[in-house]
Amino acid sequence: MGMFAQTGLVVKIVLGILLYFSVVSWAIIFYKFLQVHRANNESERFLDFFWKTKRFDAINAQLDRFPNSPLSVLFNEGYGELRKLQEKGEEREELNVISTDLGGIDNISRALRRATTSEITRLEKYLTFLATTGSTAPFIGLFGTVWGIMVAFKGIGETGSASLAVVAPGIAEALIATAIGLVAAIPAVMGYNHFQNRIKVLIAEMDSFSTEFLNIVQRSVSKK
Amino acid sequence: MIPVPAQKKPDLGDMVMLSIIIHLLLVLLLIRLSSQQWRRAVTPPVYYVDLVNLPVAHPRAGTSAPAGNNRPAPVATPPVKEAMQLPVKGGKVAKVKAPSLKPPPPRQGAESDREFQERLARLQRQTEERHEASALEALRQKVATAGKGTGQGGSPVANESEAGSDYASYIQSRLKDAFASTIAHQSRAPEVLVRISIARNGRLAGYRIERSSGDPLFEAAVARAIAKAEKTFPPPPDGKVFEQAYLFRPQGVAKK
Repeated sequence: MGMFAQTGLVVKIVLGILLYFSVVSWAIIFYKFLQVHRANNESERFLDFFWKTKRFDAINAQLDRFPNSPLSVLFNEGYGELRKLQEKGEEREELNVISTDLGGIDNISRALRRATTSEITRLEKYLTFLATTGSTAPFIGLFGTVWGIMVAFKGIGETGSASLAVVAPGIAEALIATAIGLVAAIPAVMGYNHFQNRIKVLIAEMDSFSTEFLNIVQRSVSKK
Repeated sequence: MIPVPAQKKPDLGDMVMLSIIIHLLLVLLLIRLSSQQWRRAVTPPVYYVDLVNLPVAHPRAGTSAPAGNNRPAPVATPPVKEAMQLPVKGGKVAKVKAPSLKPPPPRQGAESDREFQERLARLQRQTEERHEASALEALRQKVATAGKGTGQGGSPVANESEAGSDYASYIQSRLKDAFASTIAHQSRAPEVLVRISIARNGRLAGYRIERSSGDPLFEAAVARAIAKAEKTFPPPPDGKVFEQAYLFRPQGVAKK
């Protein structure tokens, strides 16, 4: 801490920026950890419930149990589009008949795709900050170090003494910036890779669920 | 349209607060660790080696033993050597050197020159006798006070820690060097006990004569020696004000 107090203004600003990066990165890591963890758990539970229940209206009535699952959002959008088509059919006085033309299936497919995209956006929100921290924090720290060493050498030139005792403290103070840059960047990079991987799994699950949902709808339409 | 189920989203603001708390805890932990490291780094004693006056008169300071009450006894070897050499030297000098310093044989018709030579020889003899007496007395006192921490020419007399002892010895050495060039006295064996304070930056904070000798010439020489030695004082190793009493005696300090 004494070394931090002895650093120059530029190095202090750099350290402040790096501290901000670190605090926000860790906040995002905690936030994403909770979000992705809940999304995974509730998606698993929703899929179990989906395959056991098999009735869309019964599933729709229980959607409140899975508020954090992206699959429940997909189901909600798909089922909403299906109901619209159904209502359209009713308007045409074709009671209890879901539209069998391909246009109706396409509508549901588009709705599911849109829901998938919005869920991906929600899940990937703030991850760009982690990527930015991971890639820029070391360089910001390096800038602070280079600046600190420049100032230290200037001081050495003014005093005229180049002994290790004179050179070492200035360089040590300057190196704090690189150290803190790495401390901010390493967890950010690790968190970014980890969450990207988990989100990829969730995206695959959403694609799979969309396909299954469309198949079920098409099968039920074909029966009629 | 079916209402979208309300999602129980984790709040980012809460996470930011959590992150700030964790960072604060880490910073506090680092401060605690670094302060402990700093304390540990300050503890080791700094040793001063007087390269000018090697071997030092009192090489007992500067051991790397841990500080404590079990202060090591003075190293026996160098004082024993002196103890063995000095009486022999003194004895021999008293018998052998005295005839050699006899004035040259008188020459005819040069009464004034002869008187001058005789007076010069007499003065030289007196000076030498005084030196021998001083050396013998110093030796006697050294044998008598061996292990008590006192000695000739600015010995530190306080009981201090090991690290402080090294610094005290170094300051003693610097004082002794300076005193050798300024020494002057009227009385036979004057002694002055001076307490010297050295500030954190190595400058002389002040000195106080604790025991006067009654010889103003000698005390003026001591004051000159302190003023001269002050320029060579390094800052105290523990970063605190250094205070030490030194005993100044003319014995064993030859004028350069």
